[in-house]
Amino acid sequence: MPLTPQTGSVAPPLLVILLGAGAIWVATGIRPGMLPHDPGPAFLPMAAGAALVGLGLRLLLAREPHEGPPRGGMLLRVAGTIALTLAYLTTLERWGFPASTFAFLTCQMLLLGVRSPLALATLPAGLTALTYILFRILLSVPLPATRIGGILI
Amino acid sequence: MSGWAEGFAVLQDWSVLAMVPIGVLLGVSIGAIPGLSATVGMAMFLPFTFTLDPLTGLILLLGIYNGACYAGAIPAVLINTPGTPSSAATTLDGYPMAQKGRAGEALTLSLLASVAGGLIGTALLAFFAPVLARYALSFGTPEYFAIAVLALTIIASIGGGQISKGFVAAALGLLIASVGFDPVAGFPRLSFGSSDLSGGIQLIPLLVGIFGMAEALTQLERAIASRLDRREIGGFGIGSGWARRLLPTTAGASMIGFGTGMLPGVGGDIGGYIAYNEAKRFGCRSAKFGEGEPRGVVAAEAANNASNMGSLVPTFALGIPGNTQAAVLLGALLIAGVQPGPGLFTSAPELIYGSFLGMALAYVCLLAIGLLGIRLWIQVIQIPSVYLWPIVILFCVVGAYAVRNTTFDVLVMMLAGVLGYLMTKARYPVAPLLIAVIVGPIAEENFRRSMILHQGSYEWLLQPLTASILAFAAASLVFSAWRHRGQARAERDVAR
Repeated sequence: MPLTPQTGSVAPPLLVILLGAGAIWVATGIRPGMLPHDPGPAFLPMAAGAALVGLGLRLLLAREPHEGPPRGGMLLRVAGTIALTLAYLTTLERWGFPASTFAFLTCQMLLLGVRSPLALATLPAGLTALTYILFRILLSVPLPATRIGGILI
Repeated sequence: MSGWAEGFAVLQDWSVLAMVPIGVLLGVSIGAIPGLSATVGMAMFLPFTFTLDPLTGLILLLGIYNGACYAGAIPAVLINTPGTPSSAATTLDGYPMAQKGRAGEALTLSLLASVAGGLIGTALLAFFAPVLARYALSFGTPEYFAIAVLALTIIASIGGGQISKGFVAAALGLLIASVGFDPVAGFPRLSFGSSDLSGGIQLIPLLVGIFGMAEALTQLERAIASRLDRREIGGFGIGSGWARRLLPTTAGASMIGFGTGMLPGVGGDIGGYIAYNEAKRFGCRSAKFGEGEPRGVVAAEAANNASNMGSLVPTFALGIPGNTQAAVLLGALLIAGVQPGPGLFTSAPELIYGSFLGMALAYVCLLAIGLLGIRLWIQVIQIPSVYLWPIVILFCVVGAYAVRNTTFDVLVMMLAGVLGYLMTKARYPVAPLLIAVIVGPIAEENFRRSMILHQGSYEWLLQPLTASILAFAAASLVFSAWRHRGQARAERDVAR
């Protein structure tokens, strides 16, 4: 069901209230502090949870209209980017940095509408090489390796 | 050896010095692109300061900060879109100047005003921060609790939009800060038995996600059509009489910017607008503000750069971030194992005074880079978003991974990005969340220690300084509520 302006303005405060109530419920299970007069480790999550519930109720009553969720092409670009980044995250250690980065950049550019075969072939490859040199070689960031032609890079 | 001498000594290392132009170059490139703010740029490069020593990393980030703050004026003048939020006031007269074919002149003026404002701000920072730090050395746990509450209150209440939304963001930040071991007893909490969560949510993936990834998702919603109008840019010369005519505006705006910047939460954008209004109020009758008046450009740019330096006063002296960029700098110190606060002025003077000198050098460097590369930076605006934002996401992923070499941090970055994106869509400010993540543990630790030390009594809240700071926090809250109510009433009247 598409969000109407009314449900759109109710959903965020409801989420805030649920989150706050959840935090209070979890915080009640935290064991009390050992030192005398210490408000204890549960103090901060309990206070934050109570604040979220109170503020959520306040916003629920105010019902301020806000920008609606993205639709059509906008939604596809955002959801697609999130899905591609999650895929990149899962392939990063399995395929290694060079292979997964090349695949991610190619798919991301395709998603954003790049259709030139030359751009799709050269830009992801060039950017992957550039970032590899910058991070792995110049900044010594230990990135997951890819085996290409029997060589681990 | 004095702090200044130690600062000079460490800056003689070429690897530290090299970071000044690198940082400024990166910053100018980032700031010139609409949507890539100084915070996003600093967040993107923060994880890579990991491999550098604290001062080198800090100087790189400060270079990015200073460079981006200036470069935000380039799209503000050319396409009426501030590259960074702090350049918002620059559009008021910068763009009208460009429409009259005087864009080159406006760009040169904004560069000179940025450098002047930045240098004046740096000098004031170097004067005020040690004074405040000396005073803060006598602070106990009650005062630190009160300062943390003040920072949180001001930032949440002036975060734009409804005050309640700012406080929701802050409460969310406090909840995130609660994950992991508690700072007093060391008990695990909200970790749900996960070894990854027991160490707490790492600041860097959170920061990279909430600023970098969230901004990428927001910008990818719409293809940015930042087409540069091919009208005449005009010459870059400004004539020899500019110094005499514009120096008083530059000096005054820098002072105003620095003063407003020292208040937690008051960013360069607000400083810029205040200084612009003052320049307008005191300007001569012939000045045509809003129609391409050079004084307007100078006031806005000098003030926003000085304001950024002002925000570093509480950052260096108290370890409390004055704005989001300062929070990123604090993050850099924390990951390098340096505890920010007044103690740093005596325990690591080379870091503090080296940073002051590095900032001054960055502005000198900015002058050279800005003048030499001004035509190149104009072209940077036109990088197509279909190539730009995938690169930003790539940097966010690599940056989050680089912290501990674990994909869990990349997942945290990803989730923080989605959270930041959703918050932006629902008009919840994200800055209070980040500040609460940093300030929350300071407030909690000092509150609990004060309670233990005073045997459960709340009398410590009535100590003169603590009570004064808390009263100031309450007053700022009441003032913000009153201001927001007035704005809402005015909007309703306009709608009628």
